[in-house]
Amino acid sequence: MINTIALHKLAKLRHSRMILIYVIGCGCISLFTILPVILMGVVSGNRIVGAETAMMYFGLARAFGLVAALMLGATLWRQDEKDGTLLTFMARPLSRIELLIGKSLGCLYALLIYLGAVVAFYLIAHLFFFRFSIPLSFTLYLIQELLFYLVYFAAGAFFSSFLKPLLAATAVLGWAFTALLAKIFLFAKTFLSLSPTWCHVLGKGFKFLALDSDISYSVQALFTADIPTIMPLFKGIGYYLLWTVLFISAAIILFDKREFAGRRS
Amino acid sequence: MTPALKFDNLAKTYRERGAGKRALNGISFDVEAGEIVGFLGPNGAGKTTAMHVLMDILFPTSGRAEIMGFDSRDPESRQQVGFLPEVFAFDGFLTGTRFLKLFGSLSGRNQDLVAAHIPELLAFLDMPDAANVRIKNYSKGMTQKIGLAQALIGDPQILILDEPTSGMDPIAKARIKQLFVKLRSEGKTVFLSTHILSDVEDIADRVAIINQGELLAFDRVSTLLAADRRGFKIVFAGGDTDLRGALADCAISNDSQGRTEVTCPDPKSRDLTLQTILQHGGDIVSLKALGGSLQSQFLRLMHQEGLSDD
Repeated sequence: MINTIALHKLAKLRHSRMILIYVIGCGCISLFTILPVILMGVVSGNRIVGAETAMMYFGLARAFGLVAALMLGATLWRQDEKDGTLLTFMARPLSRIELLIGKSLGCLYALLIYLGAVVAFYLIAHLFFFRFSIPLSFTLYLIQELLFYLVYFAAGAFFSSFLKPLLAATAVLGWAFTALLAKIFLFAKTFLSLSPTWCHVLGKGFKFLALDSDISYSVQALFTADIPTIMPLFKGIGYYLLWTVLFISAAIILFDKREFAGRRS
Repeated sequence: MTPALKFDNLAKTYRERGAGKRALNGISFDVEAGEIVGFLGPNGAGKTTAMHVLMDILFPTSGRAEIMGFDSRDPESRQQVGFLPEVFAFDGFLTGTRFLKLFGSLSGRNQDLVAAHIPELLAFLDMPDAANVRIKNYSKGMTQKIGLAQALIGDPQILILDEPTSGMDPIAKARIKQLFVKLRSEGKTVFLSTHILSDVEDIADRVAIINQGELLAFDRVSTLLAADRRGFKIVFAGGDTDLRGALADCAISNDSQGRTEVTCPDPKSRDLTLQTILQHGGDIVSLKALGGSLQSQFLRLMHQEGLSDD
């Protein structure tokens, strides 16, 4: 039953005009941004430019994926509540947990398709233009990327438990800005009047809250593939997994305790 | 025997700023398996709230609601239930068939049985051509019919329907009435909220009437109708000079056209009065039962007797 709900959610996303516009928009922006750099790299025969392009490409894909994941999370059941379809699902012999997991699974499928498309495009470009070897860490990197999307999806779902979708998305982005606070405490501590220990503790604390492990290690790992640089990938995977579980569990608990209003004639 | 539906001192208060709004005030009644029960009340009486508590869409503030002995919070309680909400809406990109397959599958019914049931169901609802049409292209009546079809697709033992014939044409309404009677003959339970009192009067076994969250009446339709009977009104014209004297025991008045109106309390005095009028050369213009309809009983319970056409 969970998979039936998931497949329905995926079909619903596929027919969403908003998603279609977003995907086309992201595709166009990516192409206009990446193509000139690729062409310059190919013309000059400079493989380093190619690697930088790949990093830029994944950076853009990450940003677009983040927004998409956030949108999916923030509208996970809110959209169904708005269009009146949620009640029909709730009248079936399903627990609310199953219903929300089914819908989340549908969104996970959508994010997997997105990531698959991103990777396919990268591999095609890679095969034709750059031809540098793909390290083993690539798979780990992709797992981390998927979890990165999932953590934003889960955060969107959590905040939409008590906020309208747009506000929920804004709240998540606001939350993610704790990364800035982390940077202030960790790197600009000489300007602060706090003791170094306090700066370190606060900086690490905000960094933990920031929903972002240190991406520079991960992208670097794509090209170097040595063990010390792969290790942060494991750290990243664990970090995202933890936050995803926390947010999704909280979202499920709140969904289970929530009352819904049907549409009235 | 376990009742199909049970409301046990069910109360629901909506949280609002300041004082909460009490939508249900401790209602209690049971719906037995295999009967049709009409759930009546004016707008805002609490009918939809009670149905939503049954479906676990809302939670009771106190008391409980049960389906087949299961608490309404238990998903198992919805195993044998088909539900149609007041305003049915579903994703417009699905065709009728795909939509029904989806909900057939969610009801846990065998997919082959579901697939075989779909054409039959759509044909009964007079929309066989809608099978491959997307729901977004359906009219309001068709949308309501496909909503009813999704409630039926799992072959449930209990149907909980909130204004099921809303937006349907008279032919469809008549078919749906037939369907409910057929379902009852198969031992299934139909609990429906509607504003069409004549339909309830025709097919329901029992009726629950609520207003402002209070259960005002819950009884057999025949009992409610009998309780509401307030005699008979006979209108006649003419008659000899002794006629009025012969009717001295009855309440007599003149209508605006100069005809005489006689009110009789029971069938026996009605027959006697008719006989007397005819014997004295009077012409019977009309004979009408006062009360005795669900409409008039409903209006009486709502303290709106003035709106009755008696």
